[in-house]
Amino acid sequence: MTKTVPAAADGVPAGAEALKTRIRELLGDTRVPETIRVVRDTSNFLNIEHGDVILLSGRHYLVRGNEREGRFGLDEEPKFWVKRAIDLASGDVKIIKLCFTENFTFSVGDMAFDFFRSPGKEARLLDRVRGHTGFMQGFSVRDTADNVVRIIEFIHGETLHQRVISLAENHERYYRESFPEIFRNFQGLVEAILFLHRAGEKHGDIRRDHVLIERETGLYRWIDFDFNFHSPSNPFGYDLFGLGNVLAFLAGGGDLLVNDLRRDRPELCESLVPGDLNIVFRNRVVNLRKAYPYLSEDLNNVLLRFSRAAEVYYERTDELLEDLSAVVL
Amino acid sequence: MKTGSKERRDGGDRHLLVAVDQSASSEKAVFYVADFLGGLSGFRVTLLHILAVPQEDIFATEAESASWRREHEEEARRFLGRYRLILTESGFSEERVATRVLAREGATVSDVILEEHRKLGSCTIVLGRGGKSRKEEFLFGSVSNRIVHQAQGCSVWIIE
Repeated sequence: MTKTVPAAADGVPAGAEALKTRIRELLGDTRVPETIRVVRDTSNFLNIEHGDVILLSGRHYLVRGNEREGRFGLDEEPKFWVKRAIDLASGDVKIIKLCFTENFTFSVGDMAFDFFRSPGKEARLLDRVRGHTGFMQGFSVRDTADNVVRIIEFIHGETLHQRVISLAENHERYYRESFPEIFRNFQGLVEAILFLHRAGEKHGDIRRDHVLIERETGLYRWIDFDFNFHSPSNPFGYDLFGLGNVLAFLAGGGDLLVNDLRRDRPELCESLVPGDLNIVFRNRVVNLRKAYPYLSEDLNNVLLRFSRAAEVYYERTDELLEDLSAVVL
Repeated sequence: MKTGSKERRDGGDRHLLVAVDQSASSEKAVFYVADFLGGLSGFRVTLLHILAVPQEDIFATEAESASWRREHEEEARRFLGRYRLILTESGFSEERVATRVLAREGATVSDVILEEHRKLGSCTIVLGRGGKSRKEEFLFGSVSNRIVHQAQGCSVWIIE
């Protein structure tokens, strides 16, 4: 007589053997764990490992491993609270961000910012940006211990950092052939940030490796918006600063660093004045026309608003967007 | 000083909105108003503090959020009381100095000051300006700069 195993809300039968059968269907024999542990309370995320199944709101997710920070192409420490998993009902890959909060002081140049990582903020933003092509997509649920867990659609593709580095071996060729399309997409990214700011929200951690370029669609999407900070005089200043840094990286085909110029183009390095440098990072050149005279003057003027020589700063994202839309490459 | 195109009056008095926090530059601004206008008739002052409440994410619990707010409101009442005393001792009558704390979540301080200015119909906004570096101003913003750029129909006094 066959024992009937009750199905969970996702239609996947509960019970270790039934789960193994489903995993075998999706991944083949070799990927089936010997024992299946079903986790409902994700508080202790350090103990949730490859082969565990997380059950959230009646759906089963097979954990395949921890994600890594991967900042600017360098693999850093694994993020134990971020799991790559397979939705056992659909077979789709998901990123599952478990509940991890932290407060820390982050140095930007020689200044300090008080940041906090908030699962609740990212969950709220996932609702706000649902259907917006400029952001990663997903939703949040609560586990049995009331932790906020975000379930994110996996994006197949490379980061904006990787894309630019792979294209920019020769700057002039990159600038003339590849940059125009990248610049158009960057404008879309700025529009997406404006969408957040108009809703009173910040991204919080704008970096070029926090943009993924979706392989299938070519869409540029912001990821990882669980950081927040309190800056009531200028709530969006840090986001704008991040956009300026990304733009300088894109236009320069990489960061144009004083140390590199000292080695590779000493005569240019000698000609630099403090006003050519980033307002916060004194080793980064933002007056890119000094190095690349064919760069659009309009674009260079935008970059100079992020320089130490700037008299007027961008205070709102729509001001930046307006200037970008007037740039002729 | 930025001069507006028209002056507004409040019951015959000229109404100054003095936006303050607990900084030394705010205290300077209050002393300036006291020295400049104390004892003269025809002026009233609202001492305004904007309590910029962080978004809910910063607090682990609602109790923590309530406690933060309670502490900061008490602190604001203390320094507003001190500033009020500076003005009344300089010759402003009690009924011509009002104090106000406005708590706002996620708002830009300068926007709330301007909104209050419009509601009160004040003819002058007064603020102190601290010694922020250019890059601090870039990243953290400057309330006084934003008020100078955005205020309409009034004068703005920035006290350094």
